[in-house]
Order: sequence, then C-alpha cells, then structure tokens
Amino acid sequence: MKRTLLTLLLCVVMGTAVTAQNEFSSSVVEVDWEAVEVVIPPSPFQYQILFIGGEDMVQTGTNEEVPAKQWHDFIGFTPLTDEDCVDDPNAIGWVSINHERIQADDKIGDGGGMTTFLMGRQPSDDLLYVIPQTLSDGREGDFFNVDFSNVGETGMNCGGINSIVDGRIWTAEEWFRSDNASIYVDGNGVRDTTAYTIKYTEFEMANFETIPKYQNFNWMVEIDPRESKAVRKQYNWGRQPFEGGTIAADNKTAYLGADATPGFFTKFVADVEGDFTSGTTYVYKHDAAGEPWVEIDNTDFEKMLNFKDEAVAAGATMYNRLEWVTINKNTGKVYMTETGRDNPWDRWADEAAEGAVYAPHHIQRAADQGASGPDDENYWDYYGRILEFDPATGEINIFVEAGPYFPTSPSVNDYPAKHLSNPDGLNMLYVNVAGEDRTYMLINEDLNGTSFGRTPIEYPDDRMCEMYLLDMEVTNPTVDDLIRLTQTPRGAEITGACATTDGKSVLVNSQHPDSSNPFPYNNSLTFAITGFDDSGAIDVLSAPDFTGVPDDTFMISPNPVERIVYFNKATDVALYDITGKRIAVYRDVKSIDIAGLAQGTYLLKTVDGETRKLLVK
Amino acid sequence: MKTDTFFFLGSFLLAGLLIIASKPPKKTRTYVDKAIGSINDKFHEDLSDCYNVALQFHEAARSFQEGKASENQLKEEYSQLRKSFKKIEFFIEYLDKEAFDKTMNGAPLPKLEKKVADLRVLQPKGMQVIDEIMASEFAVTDKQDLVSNAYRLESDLKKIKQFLGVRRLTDRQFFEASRQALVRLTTLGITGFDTPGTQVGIEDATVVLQTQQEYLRFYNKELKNVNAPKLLKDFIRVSNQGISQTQKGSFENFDRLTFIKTVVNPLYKGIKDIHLALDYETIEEVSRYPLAVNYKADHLFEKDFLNKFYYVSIANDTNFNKIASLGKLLFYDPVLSKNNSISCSSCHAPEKAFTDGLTTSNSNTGSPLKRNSMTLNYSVYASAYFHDLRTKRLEDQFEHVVTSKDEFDSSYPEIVQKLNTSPTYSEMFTKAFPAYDKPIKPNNIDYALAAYVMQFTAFDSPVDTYFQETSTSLSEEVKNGFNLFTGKANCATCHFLPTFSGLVPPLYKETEAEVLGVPESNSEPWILDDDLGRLGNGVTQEVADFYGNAFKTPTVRNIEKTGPYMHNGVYKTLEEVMEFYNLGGGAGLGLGIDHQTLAPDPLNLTDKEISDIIAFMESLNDTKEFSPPSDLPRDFSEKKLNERELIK
Repeated sequence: MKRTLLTLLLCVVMGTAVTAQNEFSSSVVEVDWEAVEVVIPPSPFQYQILFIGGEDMVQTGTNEEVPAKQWHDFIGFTPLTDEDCVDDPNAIGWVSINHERIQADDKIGDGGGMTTFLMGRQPSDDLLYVIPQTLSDGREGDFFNVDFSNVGETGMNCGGINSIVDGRIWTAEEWFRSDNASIYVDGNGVRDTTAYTIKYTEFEMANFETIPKYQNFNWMVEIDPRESKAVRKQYNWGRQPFEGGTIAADNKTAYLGADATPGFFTKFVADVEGDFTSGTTYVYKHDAAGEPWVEIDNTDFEKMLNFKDEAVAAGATMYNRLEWVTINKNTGKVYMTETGRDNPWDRWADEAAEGAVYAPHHIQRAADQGASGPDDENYWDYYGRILEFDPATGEINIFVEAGPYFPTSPSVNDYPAKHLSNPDGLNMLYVNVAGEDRTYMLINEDLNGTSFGRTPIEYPDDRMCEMYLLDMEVTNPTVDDLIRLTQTPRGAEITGACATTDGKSVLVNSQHPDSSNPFPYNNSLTFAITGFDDSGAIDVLSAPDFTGVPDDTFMISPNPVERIVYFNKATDVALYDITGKRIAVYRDVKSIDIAGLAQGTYLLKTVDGETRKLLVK
Repeated sequence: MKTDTFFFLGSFLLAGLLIIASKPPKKTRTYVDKAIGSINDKFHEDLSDCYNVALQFHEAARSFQEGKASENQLKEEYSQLRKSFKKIEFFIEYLDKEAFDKTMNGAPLPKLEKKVADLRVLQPKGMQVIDEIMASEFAVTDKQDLVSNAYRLESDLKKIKQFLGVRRLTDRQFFEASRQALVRLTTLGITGFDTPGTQVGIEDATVVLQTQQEYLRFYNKELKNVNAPKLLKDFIRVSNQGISQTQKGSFENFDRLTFIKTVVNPLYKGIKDIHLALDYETIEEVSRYPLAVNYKADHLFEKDFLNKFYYVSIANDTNFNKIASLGKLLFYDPVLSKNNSISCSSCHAPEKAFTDGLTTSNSNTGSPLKRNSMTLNYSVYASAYFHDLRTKRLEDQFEHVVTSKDEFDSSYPEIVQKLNTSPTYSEMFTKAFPAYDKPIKPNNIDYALAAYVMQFTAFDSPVDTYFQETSTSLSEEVKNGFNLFTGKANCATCHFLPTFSGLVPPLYKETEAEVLGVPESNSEPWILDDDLGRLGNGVTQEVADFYGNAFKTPTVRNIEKTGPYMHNGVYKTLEEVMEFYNLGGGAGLGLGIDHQTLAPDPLNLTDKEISDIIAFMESLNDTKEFSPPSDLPRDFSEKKLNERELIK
C-alpha cells in the first residue's frame, strides 16, 4: 500500500513538473491566417461565386465565345431603371468587371478589357443569379466582353467610376505607359501599335489628332454595360495613371485619383448635368489662395496628354499613390485611398523642385520619423491611409491612418490586433436594416509588401488581403473600429467591393490569387456576400466592447459563438475539447476564429491558468 | 474491513495530495521565467548591440574616407559588424524576410519594386553590397559608396529595431528560426554567397554556431524537466566539433562535405528533437498550408526536405496517385497535339532525364526551335518555368506548349473534345477528379501532367545516399568536386543545395535567373546570343534592362544525361561548360555585357579541379529510372486516332 501511494505521489509530482514545464500539452492549430478559400462570413450572410476568370465563357461575337480574361479588379453596378426592357421580373441590374491586364487575345481584343452581365435576385432567398441576354449586336449568352474596338482598345483596367446618380460606368486605364514597346510586350500585349488617329469624338480639340498608340491608353473610358460596348475615352480629363473616381450627386462633378508617386487629385465640372464631354478640369492644390483648385485647360489637347507636367507647373498637391475614390451621398464628402509606397524617396523630388507641393501629412510624417522630408531616402510609408475631402471646406484630411502605425513602439500587450495595410479598393454601402438607414465604408487591402507587420510572420510571402467595413457613424475612426468582413484566398488581392443598390449584397473580386489554391480559387473570381439588410447581421461581425474589464480577469464574448470569439486582453490560450484533449494553441491573440470546429462544448485555458467554457453553435 | 479502511485512508490521502498538486505552484511566467523569456531578452539585446556596431561602422567608414582611419582599422570594424550581424541575422530573416532581403542581406543585384504602377529599380543595399566594397581597391567612389551603404544599413537597422524590438517570439518560432539559420549557413554562408567580396563565410559560420549554442543552452532546465538533458549535451558536442572545423578552415580549403554530413545534418535534427521533446507546437500543426520546407525532415538531403505540394495547386490527397497515373498516359500521348504526331515525351525522353539530347528541340515539322529542352527532373521545385521564366507554376507551363504553333498547335477545347471520345480516358478523369461533373477540363489536364512530372524527384544519387547515410563512400574526386562546387568554383551560389538549381534557400520559394553572357556559338569571334530571355518573356512587370539575356538556373542533377547545355545548347560537353565558367562567362570572353550576374573574373580552376567537379556532377545522377506506359488508350471513337504512336 505504502509503495503504491509513493508511486502515486511520484506520478503527481512528476505531473506537476511537466505542467510547470509546458503550460499546454500537444497538438495545435492557430488563427485562421492561412485559409485557402475565401473566408466566408458567418450566417445570416450567404456566399456565392458569380463569375470565374479563365473558366466562364464571354461572348465576343455571334456564336463566338472564349474563356474570360483574368485579373478581375473594379466592379460597377448599374441598377435597372423603368426604361429598361428586361423580361425577368427579378432582374436588378448590370454588373461590369475590369480585367487589369495587357494581354493579346484575338477574340476579346488586345490589352485589358471588361466583362458585363445582367443579374437578378431570387425573391425567395435573396440569392443572385446571372440572366442570359441578347444584345443588339446579336451576341447571346450570360457574360459579355466589352467591345473597346471603337475607342482604340484599352489596357490595365484597374479601378473606375460607378456613378451614384445613375450607375454610369467608367473604367480606369492605370499603369502609365511611356512607349509602345511596353504595351506591345513582344506581341503578347497590344499587337497593333500603329499610330492612332482620334476621330468622331465629342472632343474637338482631340479629333484628327494622331498620337502614338501608347498615348491612347491611361484615360478614363466610359462604357455602356447594357450593350457591353465602350462609349468614349474621356480625353478632357487628362491622361493620367487613373485608378479611381466618383461622380457627385449634382451629376456634374467628377473626382479622380491617380496611382503614382506623385499622384494628383483631379476634379472635372461639367457645364450641363450628365454631360461629361464639356466642362472644366482642375487639379487640387491645398495651399492655393482661395479655392484649392487650379484649372488645367482641357481645350488644349497637348495639355491633356501631358497632364502631369501641367499639374506640376500649377504647383498641385502631391500624394503617394491615390487609388480608389468614393463619395458619401449623405454628406457629399469624398473619400480616397492613398495606398502608399514603402520608400517614395526621389520619386517626387523633381516635381517638388519644379513647384508641386507635398501633401501636408507627408511633411508631418517625415518630421515625426526624423527624416528631412518626404523625399528623404529614409522616409517610409508602409501602410497608407484613407483620406477625406470635404467639398464644403476644400480640405483633405486623414480619415483613417492605416497601420500598425506607431510613432513610438507599443508594449506587446498594446500591439494592435487589427492591421490595415495599403488600402486600395473603396466604396460605400447604404443599407436599410429593420427600418433604419445605415452607411458603411467598404475598404479593401492590396498589400505592397509583407514587411513591418503587414502579414503575420508565419506567412512572409503570402499576401492575405482583407476587406473591412467601417460604420460611418463612428467619429474619428481608427483601425480598431474596422469590422473584418472577409478575406480573399492566399496571394490574392481583394478588390472590387461594390454594393448592389438595394444594399443586400456586396460583390467582391478576388484578383490574381496564389497558384496553390484549389480550383476555382486559383482563378480571379467575383463573389457575392448577401444579407447585409438582415437584422443584426453586421453586428455579428464586430468585436464586443470590453471597456472597463480589468486585465487580471479573462472574459470571452460572444458565447455561444459561431465564428470569432473575442477576449478582453491579448494572451496565449489553448482550446480543449470535452474530453480534455488539447486541440489548439493560440499565442498572443485577442480573438480566435473557431471555424471548422464541431458544435459542442469546449474549454479555453489561458497561459495564466484561467479557464472558460466555450459553446460552439 | 481493514483493507477498506486502508483504501479509504488511501483515497483520502490521495485526494489531499491531488488538492495540493492542483493548487498552482509558484506561477511560472512564460515570457519571463522560461527559456523563451531569456531568448527574447537576448535577441533584443543583440539587436541593440548590432545597431550600435552599425553606427560605429558608419563612423569608421567616414573616418576612413576622410583619411582619419586606416584600412586595417576599417577592416577590424567590419569584422565586428559581421560578428554582431551574424548573431541576430537568423531572427531578422525569420521575422521579416522581406525587410531582410531588401535592406539587410539580399543579393547585391538590382530588383524591381513590386506592386507599383511604374517600373522602379530598387538598388541593392545591405551586408552583401558592403562586403563587395570591402573587397574593392577602395577607390574614391568605393569609399563614398561605403559611407552611403553603411549609413543605409544603420538607418535600416534602426527601423528593424524599432519594429522587431517589441515583438515577442514563441518557442516554436525560435526553433524554426534556428533550423532556418542552419540552412542559410550551409547553402549561403559557407558557399560564399553571403560574402561575395571578402569570402569570410567560414568565419561567419563560427559565430552562427556559437550563437546558436548560447541560445539553446537556455533550454537546459526545461529539458531536465522532461528528462532529456542529453539532447542538449549531444547538440553542444556536435556544435563544438563544428566550431573547431570552421575555426581551422578557410574558404579555399574548408571540407564542406564533412561539415554538412557530420555537423549540420545532426544539428538540424537535434533542434527538432529538442523542440519535440519539449512538446511545443510545430508549424505543421499550426498551419494548414504546406510550407516549402518540411519541418519534419531531419536534414537537407532527405527525400522530403522540400514539400513538393507547396509548389503546385494540386492537393496532397488520396486522388493524387490516380491523377499522376492519368498524367503518365497523357505525357506520352500524341493525341494532345493537333496532328496526333508529337507528345511531351517527344522533347522530354525519360532515359535522358526528360530532355531530348538536341542542341535545340525540334518543332512539329522537324525544324530546330529557339531553345534547348530542359530536364523535368526536380522541375516541380520552382517558382518560374521556361528558360525565360514566363510562367509561374508547373501547371501553367503546358498551356504554352498546347497553343504554340511550332509545338502542339492545338487548343484546350480541341483536346477536351478528343479525350471525351475515349471511354478509358473519360473513366480515368472521372476517377481522378470525382468532384467534377465534367472532369475533362483544361485545368485538370494540366494537373494530371504536373502530377506525373512531380514524381521525378528521386533524391537517390550517390551524393544523396551519402548524406542520407545509406551509402558510405564517395570517391576522393567526387568529394573534392563537391567541395569545389560549393567553394572555390562558386557553383553553389547559383545552383543552391540541395536541388542544385536556382531555387533560393533558406525558404526555397523563389527561382532565380542569371545573366551569364552565353555566346551564340562555341567559337570565335564571340557573339552574344540574341535571345533576350527574361526580358522578352511577355510579363509586363518584368520589363527591366537587367533581365536582358537572363535565363532560369536549371538543376545540375542528372547533368550527365541532359546535354547539350545552356538555353541554346551551345556547349556539347561539360568540359566546354566548365571552360566557359572558368573564363568568367560572356564578360570573361570579352563580350561587353555590363549586367552579367556571374562574376567576370576567371575562376582559375586547374584541369584536375575541373575534372573533379565534373566527377561530382556526374554523381548527381538519379538511380531510379522512369519508364513510359506499355500502351495508350485505344478506344477513341475515331478509328484513326487509335492508330497513333506511343512516343517514348
């Protein structure tokens, strides 16, 4: 007996020693940074794939179809109007999708391109579907390639404009070109590089001008989503590395962003509502006397071709890569992403010397970093930001600074749990939930790199791009106010984010995903998340408020949980199943994603030994 | 009765003991009291030290430029800088690979800035750039370059210190970083890659091994707790052997073969053993996504050191073998080409390590094409395909052959339509891809071919089995050849261990291309081959002058069977190839190529050294052989198709 006891005692002591050794024992999983498929938000949201690049066929002519181009970028939604004759009573509107490429294709056309389709919504379950159409040029089918042959082809279709007034669509030709070789790409890009003569446009200053082919790229191009045809290149808005833009409620003012260092902020004001072929073009200069806008003569085609030189000469304000531009139709304020570039350095020094001015926040940031100015080799802009332009005051201010940005290093416990790096796609979502109108900003990341905390260290080359929602009710928002909505497959850029006018769905593109994802996630694709109008749907996505909960307690919420359970502090935790078997260890986390766990009861144990029962529903 | 009482008392006692035991003992604070706490502290300290040394080095470079410090003083400061950098290198590389490559220790070659709308060349900076200057003649411009690069290193280290100085490492991360350090030491350190100028990689290795010991000693107590202190003792013993080898060695005479076999490989396994003994989580448990380096592997030359599924989008599941068997038929089947006349095997014959033995491959009409057929063995381990790196993954490669007018001259719809008329193929596709309604799809054809090609990774050459300890002998010539290949001849600085290809360690995620200045024919007058290589690959984001004449670095495994050599097959024998390198490539031949990535200086290899290197390379032949299928499906509805030839 005695011996048995002694043995037991030894066992207990050894057990204690081992416990002291490693707080959690065996077999582990971690936060869902490594999803290989689109991370689908929890119910009541519904998820659907609508359009797969390289897989779905686009109609390029009568009885002629080829697989769609890849690299989906911008998405536009054009709501059905009373004047549209569409047989399907559940049709809601047309979707237009950019392909950000320069690629030769005999059928689709060389360069980039767009795809359009008509979409309907099932009344029974709100799910979306593609409606077959017959276009007036005889094409029949589900997906249609936008014909750009009438405007001299297109390329690198990145962002665009989706008018809040009537759903008109412009596509932005980004990736500024400076010679024909760069569009020809040894015959793999735009193969016809003969000089282009502009003809029969509304722009008298441009008609019968013959320009090198590459100069017919990098314009904003309006398209007709109903007929899947280009309408016109906007020769009066200047030739710029356009990324995005927006139309104000007056249906006269267009705001445009250019993706370059320096990138300029441009405005066009039409003479007549809805007619963007004549009006005045301006570039933003924050320190101009009076109105912060300087006119650039858009009746001079040379000036439109060399827009940047004109902007520099006008002393315009320089930004570090402006991407998408959107407008809050409730307030009229304009928002744009300044995605950043790690080390802008000498990229804008010459322009500064010639009179262009740095945006004040870059001067401030450089000073904070101990750099001599925005053109200092050591000045960095790893994370980018969202800017707000208020037409009432003419001021541009930082709306949300992306990060983990900190002027001084935080302690581990204060290290930000949310990161927003290199915001790119930007749009608004207006939704009526239980009779209440709510407005959200949709923010898409497109990481410029992985360094300095832009990705978790386990995945140094995997670019996880996330999409966030921001409630526009929040005053002085920070990264902590962002609600993580979804994440695209590994390696993909998340982009497009476009709400349907009814506010029920958001369409998203997963662009150029990593090779190693399973089909169809190895292709660029368009997917939809539906259910934003459901009561409480958006609330299930956001983190609970733990204000006032002391750090020496361990609180978890929600519980029961469906997807993400949040903690009141960052800690190491292990998750045990009902039998006491450890099934996961997470370190330094403020929340965990329990996707993939079976329903039931689990135990969460912190590194300090605090335990909480967790119900997974 | 008595027994019951005893039992009762026993239970009571036991209960009491359990209560005492379950009462938490004095709380051990993970990140303070345990090994990982000390590891974090040491890392943060060493990082600060390194920053201070970099500051000093910047000062020294300036004093040297101003004539206030001697060359010897500068070199002493440089030696200090290398020492303190090598102490923290493994953490920085592990924690922020991108910043590490861009600012700390990337190759001294220009790169293009990624993800920006314009073409922007990023000039290299960091330790390797500084190392090249430290081996220069110290001309006025060299001195200026040194000052600016020392300043850059200092400022970049400051940013890294600010950022990483607040991060907290876990045990798992420490072990992973430490093993990665051994891979770097072996493939980039002792081979001279890291020190393109001064070639002090062997001295560096001493610092790395010493540092690693210091860190691992923190686990002494924890290992005692799990009754495994011997693991640490063994580790230190082998590590000390390694240190004595590196201390005695120099770049010219270091016996890398012995060092890898007797030191690196056991240490690499030793860290894993310690990690597992302590029961900390491993990356493979934490991530559902396969990494390129398989953490479970014991050493660099193990068959599954690299995870081939990392490189493809094909899942490692139960259907894989069915997919690969299907691929094996398709590979030899001319039905994939327009006239049912050529197959993959037309240019990739199994007995020639899947090459064709021709200077450049033949077109479908029998006329020579532009480039030499590349071996498919080990080809899965790459991030870019074709000599010009135009596609990014194995599955995407095939499409180019299908649509090329000179090759298959076909299209996927045509192939799909043909395959659908064979019940055998239809059934095989259905079984291989059960999730698809119509399994004969373009991407599934690509997957099948890729799955077959993925199997050509035997890792069973005499050199492999020597490291795998399944054979004990290599001839003196081969041993010497290995040491030259990884040393004096500078081969392993581009043909990295263990694939002997351009797949860059220690992450093995990116394939490199090199500009060698290959001439158009092997005779004077020397004329640079006009193939633009990577510059002409059609990838919009790769249009940079320095990609001109750049070609993918292939594996030298099975090289005896894969001649003629180079992208244009200009060299018929390995002797000719060695002669080309020995003279310093195209630049060495006087071809006036200014962006050659191969050093233009002669290697000064003797005939004996060259023949030893060739003997070594010829010991990289796979033992395993691959054979064609015995026949092809012959049940197509179109009779004529069933008469097609099986191309072996």
